[in-house]
Amino acid sequence: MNEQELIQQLRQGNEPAFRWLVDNYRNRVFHTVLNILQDTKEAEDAAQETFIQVFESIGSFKQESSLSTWIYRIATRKALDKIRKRTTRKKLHKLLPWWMPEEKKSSGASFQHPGIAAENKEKAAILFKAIESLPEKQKLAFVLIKVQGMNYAEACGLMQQNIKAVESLISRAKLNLQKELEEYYKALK
Amino acid sequence: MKNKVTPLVDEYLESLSGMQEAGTDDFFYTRLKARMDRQGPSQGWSLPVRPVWVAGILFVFLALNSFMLLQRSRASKIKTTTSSSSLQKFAESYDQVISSSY
Repeated sequence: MNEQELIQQLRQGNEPAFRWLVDNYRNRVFHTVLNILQDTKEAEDAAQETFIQVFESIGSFKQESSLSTWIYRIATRKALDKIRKRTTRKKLHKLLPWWMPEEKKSSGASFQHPGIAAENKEKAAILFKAIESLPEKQKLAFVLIKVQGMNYAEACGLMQQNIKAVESLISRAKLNLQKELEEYYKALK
Repeated sequence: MKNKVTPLVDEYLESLSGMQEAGTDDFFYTRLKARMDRQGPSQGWSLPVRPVWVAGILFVFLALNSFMLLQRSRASKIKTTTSSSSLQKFAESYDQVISSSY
């Protein structure tokens, strides 16, 4: 089935076509949102929300980008929304601890990525913790390109930024991560 | 070759080499379908702007209202003072005294 046929069938509400789309994209979508969110439960939730939005908004998809770019754009937006909500919840918890329940995931807990080899898990967890401290755009650019291995052109299309802007985000992200990791080393000594 | 500016980042990034794609289990579609059935079709109406914008617009609206009220009360004060002093002048020109009703 080519992309045009798939879009056409999705617009007609064809369930087998939707199932085909979910089965073909679920792992990549989950992997992307997991790298951003660093939480398996939230990633599953964001992945589900992504496909629900794809199903509901396929009629308004203008085909200015490829279907996959459009899906990943929705997925990253869902993940970033979850991060924003998480930040708001943390702030509210600090202000009104009796009203807002504490986050289940403690800030000290390190994220163990399920796709990383056992001997690299410790280092990867430290890196993921440092990535969590990055500003939103830097985090997204770094995760897509450096963690996920997406090429610049694809990441630019997804982030709707030009290549210079993305390169700048990557270099700033790297500098910030270097500082974070240096501080981690100092704290160990 | 390692970057001279960010050597630690490059060192830690190496730990991600060979990372496998983390996927969902085979029941993902079943869970998704159940959620979609539970939710039903989307309601169609939703807030077109983010809540922070709604709060901002509300704040500007309230600020403008307060400013207008303040201006109006100031204007009415000036008007009262002006009208009482002109009445006094009028009375004085006829050798009359106006006593306050208070």
